[in-house]
Formats: sequence, C-alpha cells, structure tokens
Amino acid sequence: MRNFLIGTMIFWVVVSAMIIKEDRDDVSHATSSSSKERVEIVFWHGMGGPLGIVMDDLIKRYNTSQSRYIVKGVAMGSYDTLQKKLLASLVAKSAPDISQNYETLTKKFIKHRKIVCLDTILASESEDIKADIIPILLENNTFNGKLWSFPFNKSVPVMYYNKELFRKAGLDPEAPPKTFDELASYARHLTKVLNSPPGNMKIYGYATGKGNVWMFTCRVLQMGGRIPTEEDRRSYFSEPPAVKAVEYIQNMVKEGIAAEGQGYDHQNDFKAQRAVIIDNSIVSKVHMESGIKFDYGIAPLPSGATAAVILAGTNINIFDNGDPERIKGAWDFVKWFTSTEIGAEWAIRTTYMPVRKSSLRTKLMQDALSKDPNLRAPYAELDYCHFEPRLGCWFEIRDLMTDYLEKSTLEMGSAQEYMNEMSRDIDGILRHVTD
Amino acid sequence: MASKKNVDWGVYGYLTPVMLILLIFHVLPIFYSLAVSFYSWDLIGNPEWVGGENFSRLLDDPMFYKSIFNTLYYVIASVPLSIISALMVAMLLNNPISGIGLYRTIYFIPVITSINAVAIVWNYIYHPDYGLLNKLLALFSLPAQMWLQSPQWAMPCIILMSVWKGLGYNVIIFLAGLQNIPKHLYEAARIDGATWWQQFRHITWPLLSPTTYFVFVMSAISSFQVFSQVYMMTPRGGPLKSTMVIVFYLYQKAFEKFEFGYALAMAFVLFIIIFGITLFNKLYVEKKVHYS
Amino acid sequence: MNNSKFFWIHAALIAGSVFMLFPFVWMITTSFKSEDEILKTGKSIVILPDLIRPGFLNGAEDMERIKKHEQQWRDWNAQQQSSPASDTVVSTKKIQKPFEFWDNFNEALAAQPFKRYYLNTFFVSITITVVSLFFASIAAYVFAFFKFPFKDTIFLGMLGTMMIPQQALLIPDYIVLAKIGWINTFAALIVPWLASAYSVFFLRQFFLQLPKDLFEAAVIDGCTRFQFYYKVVLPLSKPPMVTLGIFSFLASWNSFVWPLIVTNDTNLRVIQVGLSYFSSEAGTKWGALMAASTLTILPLVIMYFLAQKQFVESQAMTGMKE
Repeated sequence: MRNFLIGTMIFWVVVSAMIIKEDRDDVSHATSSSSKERVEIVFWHGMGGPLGIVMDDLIKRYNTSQSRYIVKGVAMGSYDTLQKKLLASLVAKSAPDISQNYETLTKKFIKHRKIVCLDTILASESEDIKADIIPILLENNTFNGKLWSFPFNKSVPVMYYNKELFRKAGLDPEAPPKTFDELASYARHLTKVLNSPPGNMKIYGYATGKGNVWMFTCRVLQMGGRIPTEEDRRSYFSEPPAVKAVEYIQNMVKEGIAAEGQGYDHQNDFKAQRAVIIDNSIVSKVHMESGIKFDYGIAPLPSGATAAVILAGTNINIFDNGDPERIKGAWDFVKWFTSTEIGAEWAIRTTYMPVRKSSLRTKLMQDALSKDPNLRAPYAELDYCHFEPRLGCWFEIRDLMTDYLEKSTLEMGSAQEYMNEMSRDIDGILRHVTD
Repeated sequence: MASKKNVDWGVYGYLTPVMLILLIFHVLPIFYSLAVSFYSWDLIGNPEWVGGENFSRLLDDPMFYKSIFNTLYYVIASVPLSIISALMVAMLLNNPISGIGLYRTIYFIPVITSINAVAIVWNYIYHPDYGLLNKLLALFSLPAQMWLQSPQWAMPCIILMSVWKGLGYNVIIFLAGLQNIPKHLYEAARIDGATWWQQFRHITWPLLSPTTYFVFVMSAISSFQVFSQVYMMTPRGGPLKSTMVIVFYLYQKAFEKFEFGYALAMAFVLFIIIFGITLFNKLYVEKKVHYS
Repeated sequence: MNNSKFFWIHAALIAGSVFMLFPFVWMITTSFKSEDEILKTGKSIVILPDLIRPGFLNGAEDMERIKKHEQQWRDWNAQQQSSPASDTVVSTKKIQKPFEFWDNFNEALAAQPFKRYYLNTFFVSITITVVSLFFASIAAYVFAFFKFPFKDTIFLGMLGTMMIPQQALLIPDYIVLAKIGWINTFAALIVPWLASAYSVFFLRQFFLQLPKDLFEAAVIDGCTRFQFYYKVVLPLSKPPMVTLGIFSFLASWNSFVWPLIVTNDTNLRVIQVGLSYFSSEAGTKWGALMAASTLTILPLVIMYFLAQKQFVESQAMTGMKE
C-alpha cells in the first residue's frame, strides 16, 4: 500500500513536470519564432478533418507572409460546440477576436454590441471590396443596411450520383435527373434493376438525410413554395408546395426506392454503393472523397416548378474586444483569406463558395473547373441562391421542423396534417419575434 | 472526554474543507439558480425580470412532463434490473471457485471505461445497417430493428447499455456485503436443513440490507440524473423524443437554446423533487435497514 | 461443493463475461478494419479484420481483392509521380490508398494531441483523488465518532447536495468561475471536485461499523483527535479508501461535460474532451472512432490490471471483520 502511494506521488510529480515543461516550450516557441511585437489574433473555427488541414495550412501561410500579426486558429470540433463556447466565453470576457458564426448568432451579437461593424473598417480600404463580393453573399451579411459580418465559408447543396451504377442500370452517366419527376423515375428504375437479382444488400436509387431541414426548405422553394422571411414573418408550410415536398419523400420511402439516413449515414451509404443518388452539401465531397472508389458525378439539385437552393455555412464576426490593434489584425487576416487568389484556392480545395467575384475569373479557378467537372455544379446554382431567414428564433424553428419531418417518415401519416400543425407552431413562435 | 467547548470548534475544523467547497460550488449555486430562475437570460445580454413566468410556463410544458415520464421509465426499468443482475453475479462469485479475480476484473471493465467511448461503441453496435446487433439477429433469422432510431426501442437500448456499464460496480459492492455475512450462520442453517431459498430469505437478504439499501439509493439517485448516454447516443432526445430525460431537457434548454432562466427554473424544480424523495427515503425507509 | 454446481456457476459467469466483453472485442477489431469492411451490410458477422484473418477463414477472395487494389494503387501512384507536377490544388479522381494496419490509429492520433490529453487527465485525476479522499475521510471521521451541535442537520444537508443534478450546477458554477477568472485553468478542473459528499457518506457508513471501544480505549491512552484518526482509523480503512480512491479516480478520468465547458485551449483538454471533439469531427468514420475510443479506454484498463493486485491484497490483508 505504502509503495503504491509513493509510486503514485512520484508519477504525479513527473506528469506535472512534463506539463510545465511543455507549456514553457510553447511560450518560448511562440515568442521566439515571431518578432517581439506580433499581435496575437485568436480565431475560433469549426473546421476539422480535411477542412482543418486546409485551414491550418492557410493560417500558417498568412503568418509567414507578414510579421505584424500572428493568427492562432483554434478548431472547435463542430459549429455546435463553437457556438456554446462562444456564448460562454462572452460571459467570461474571454471571447476570441474572430469567430465563424451563423446569422442568428450574429444578430444576437449586434443587439448586444459585441461585434464590430465592418462598414467602418471597409471605409478605410482603398479598394472597393464590397463591389467585388458575390451579391447573394453580400446580402447575406448585410443587416439593416450595414455590413456586420463578412462572408467566409458558404456552401450549397448538390446531388451526388454513382456513374458506374448508372451505367450498370443502363442510364446515361452524363445525364443526371434534372427534375423531381425524373429523380423519382430514376430512383425507381435504379432500385428495380440493381436489385434483380437481389444481392448481399439492397441498393436504393436515392437516399437523403432524416429530418433534414435544409433539403426540405430547398424542396419547398423548388416546388414553387415560400419560406418565412425577415420581412414576411409567416409560415407558408401548410400550403401545397410544402406538403408536396413532404409527400415526395414519404412516397419514395414507402415505395422502397429511397432510404433515409440518420446524420451522415446516407453519405456512408453512397460510399458503400448502397445508394445511387444522394443530396448533400458540396463540402461533403471533401469528406467523402477519400472513401469513394468509383466514378461519380456531381450535379445541381433537381428543380420542380422552379430552380432554387439555399446557402449553408457560416460567416465571420470580428469581436469588439476593445483593442483596435487586434481588430485591425483580425480584418487584415480576413481580407487576406478572402482575397482574389487565396479565396479561389480556398474555394477549390474545400468547395466552399469564394467570396469575391474576381476569384471566379482567376486562372486557378478556371483550370480547376475545366479539369474537374464535378466542381462546376455549385457555380451553376449561383444564379438561384437564397438564404434562410436571419431571425433570432430561426434555430428554434428549425428544431421544430426537424421533429415534424422525422415524424412524417416515422409515422407516415398525412403530410397535410403534419404541415398544418408545424405551421401553427411556427406562426406561434414568429408572432413573438422582436428583432 | 475533553470539555464540550473545545470539542465543538476542533470538530468543525475537520469539516471545513469539505463544507466550504460544497457550499461554494454546490449549495450557493442552487440559490443563485433560484434567483436567476425569475429572470429570462440568454447569457450575453442582461437578465430580464419575468417573475414566476418561467415556472408557470414549465407547468404548462408538455415536453417537461414527457421528460419526467421518460426519466421514470428509465429509473423504474434500470434500477431493479441493475440490482437483481448485480446481486446474482455477486452471489455466483461468492463461492469458492477458481478464477474469481479474473471474473471480477472482467465484470468491472465496463465500469472503468468512459461513457463517451462506450457510447460510441454501442452506437455502432446498435446501428441498423452496419451494427453487430442486427447482424446477430439476422443469424437467427430475426428481423432487423431500428434500435436507437425507433421510438419503442430507443429507451430500452439505452437502459440495456446503462445496466451493462454499471453492473460491475454494483457487483463489487454486493460482494463486499456478502462477504461480511458470517459464514457460521449459513452452516448452522444448512445443519438445520434449510434450502437455498430459505437461506437467502432469512440470512442473506436481511443481513445484506444495508448494502442493498446503499446500492438502491445510489442507483436511484444517479439514474434520475441520467444524461451522458442520452447526449452521446440520441443527441436530439431520440425518435419522437422518447429518450428525452429531465436532465437532458434541462441541458438542451440551457446550452442549446440558451434559455438559462427557464432551464434554471427546471433545475430548481428537479432539485426539490429529488431532495424530497431522498428525505422520504431517509426518514421512513432507512428505519427498515439492519445494522448488525 | 459438487462438480455439477461448479460447472453451472462457471457457465453462467462465462456467459456473463462474454456479454461484458463483446463490445470491447468488437471495438478493437473494428479499429483495424478498413472502411469497406465496416460499411458492409448483410448477414455475415466478420470479427477479424481482413488484414489479419488467415486465408482459410474464408479470406481468400478478400486477399485477392486487396492485392489487386494494392497493385492498382501502385500503378496510379507511379503515374502521378512521373507526370509533370500538375496543380496540387485540384483533386481529380483518386485511387484510394490501400488500407494499412494502423491507419485508423494514425488518423486519430494525427487529429488530436492525445499525449497531452493523457498528461492533463493524469494530473487532474490524481490530484482530485488524493485530496478529496483526505478531505472526505476527516469529515467522515468526525461524523462517525463525535457528537456536536447541528451534526445531523449538516450531515443531511451534505447528503442533500448529492441530489443536485450536476447539469443544474453547470451554469452557476461556470459563472462563479468566470468571475474569479478561473475559466480555462487547471483550478477550474480540480477545485470544485475536491469535496465529495458521496465519499463522506460511504466512509461514514464504514466508520460506523468500527468498534466503539477502540475509540474509548484510545482516549484513555491520551490519544488526540487527529492521532486517533491517523494512527487507528486510517490504517483500518484501507478497503473503503482503496475502493473510493478507485471510483474517484475513475469518475474524474471519465468526466467530460464539466471539462468540456470550462476549458477551451487544446493544452487544457482532458482525454474525454479530446475524444468528444474528435467524434464531432470524425462523424461516422467508424474505424477512426473505434481507434480513438480504444486509445481512451486502454490506459485505464492497463492501470486497472496493474492495480488489481493492490486491490486484492488490501482485501486479503484486512481479512474478514466481525
């Protein structure tokens, strides 16, 4: 017993010593590798995995490209965690200098004066940056006429399809479905042909995410419907287009030609060649790539009465920490990151939308698009992008919608009834909106 | 004995470290929570006074009642299951067989693993398409289930995993209790011709009651507070909210919807309920427990 | 005891053991499988990963396929190396690199600094265990052996604190720590856990079972309050202290919600937090997730096996108490 206790104490001392040593090394490393007056800019982001690699690479390049500032990127694992830590850090007065954020959170920060208005910063720039920003992205970051956040990593949904299985089923791999009707008939055909004779596992023509609000709202718009907006705070989900959007999926699942996956499952299904066509963010390409061993294509989402897609992803907030040097540094980094050439590189390596129109015209971009046709779909969709309403209560509403959507395929009840209930609940929330 | 005056102060000194920390980090926060529960606060701005509105909203909140129901379902299913299974294993181990040390180690391994890691593994086991459980069922030609994605099975899945995880812990405690029962009592009973069941009813069970009481109280209290499993395995509260337990609902309200005032009102109500139950336990049930 | 009884006891215990262990076996074997193997649906349960399954266990086709894939990759890789350096920026169709044995572990280790997480976790857990046991034992000591005003009230109040759902404490505790400026420090990870009502309760139950005459005898001998604690009570308390020590260490090692909330920086993260971040990143990459889980669980299992002897020895030393 005595020996064990002594052993433990020694171990503890060793561990503590190692921690202290490591911390000392970090500090000396930081102060020696940079010149004495480097201002540290803390950047919280949610880019992990393959995206994190690109992010870290770019941050390193920025740090070596100038000697005034040093950006420290902290990967927060997921947007969810990022959001929680951000709010908690504001209470503790230890917020970062820059953070990725959704518009709902940005609005909160505007209300409580936590972030810097970018108009004032841009005013002192010689270049007219705003004129070069892709319009929909600019609109997305403009609140009440002022620019409060900066576009950073926005993505669009696209359709992935397995070209090899297309060929196997006798379909033209260069002709993916363009409308909902086509998608349904393709799914039907693929499911039938690829499962006779039935193999080890059932192959589904189409797969999507369970309770996925993003795809649902895209479908609603594509069916010709409306979603609530900041000006028009009403839920239109009980109208026919939304109901049709729900029934569309319900019917396909009922018929057995489509599968719904929890979380990222439908991505795995696609990789395992269990699902021929899936819809997902364009960024999924980066996550799935290393696991895809077949010839695949990426196409714009199908259209119904009209073509429409909704932006996903976050923007950048610069926090008002009271130190003008750090704010300048934060902006310097953001400007560099979203500049024409770097922005194009970021867009190609991660498939996020570049911020500047000029990025689209760079040689880098043109070359990439011509070499890899799979990168083109998002740019085709640029013409009909929308974004979800930037209301403080929107995440609460999204949560509600997820519940109803999950219910709709779990219980397979009347889509109209679900939508009526959902609409009623959403209207209830929207009525109390004050922002 | 030293004079009464001296004993008093010295004794309190021994209590101080524990009491001080409990006071600052466990007791005062409760009062702070109560205070904040009369406000509406999202952590960034300033708290706004809303009086008793959080509480009245709570009483009208169907999800609150559903979460209480789910929690009770969990407690009522998992506590007896845990106690019975742990007691059975402990009784098996309380025999002069070889390999007791090895068995004890094996049963204890799930206890020492982190809930995080274990939930990830069970998530994978319960996966409808690639999971081990459905594959096992397929071997016996039984139909695959949706497990964590099915409103009927989600909670049982979590219960099973929790019982699995906590088994070894209770086994060790029961084993210690069993080993404290004097062997001569059993010998005497055997000489008198008592059957195994009679021995259990008249010797084991009564003399084990302090231990059983302890396990019961600890299991009940901790299962009321079940959270991590739900958080890791059904992060949205499960299909049709079938695994939405109280503490998870509270966590969601605070850290996902940032309605701190409301969440603290719920926390306070929860605290009153659990404290009340424990009090009841201590005053009435403990009387029935034997101390040798 | 007759043989048939032995047999059934062992049979039952073995069945139980399989139930206890199968998730871990599954976890470890999965961490050596490639994504292909993991994402296979269908009836067959393949426990062993492709790379180590001997050919006669129906592995022949798989080995064929693997070899063919490796050749394909070597050809494609050679082609990539020899052709003019094209934009490394653009990703064209790749041949996926064949899976190597340690790939999942390498992926997990590359994604998060597990070594630092281990150091942090050991530091925090050991500190909490040792200090909290000391605090708890002296408190339990006076509860068990002395009478003093408000004793029952205080004890009840202390028990009451056990009933507080931890999640309710998260928010106010966080705010308190923020105001003292302890967020993102080791103090935040350690101090709130130095008082354990559970340990006090457990020890007090144990102390109550010690013979009262011991104490009276010691008083007659002129033993002070602390001497009695240190010289008599503590040595007699090895079993519950060891048990509590183990449980306390485990609880601290395995806790993750609190550390998740009070620490931001990577170099303050404990192992569970690291795993939690990794699991958000890795999504449903089961192979890497299982590898990371293995890394999280393994040290504790090893420690437990080593400490087993201590645990058993202390039980044997004290023998049966009457």
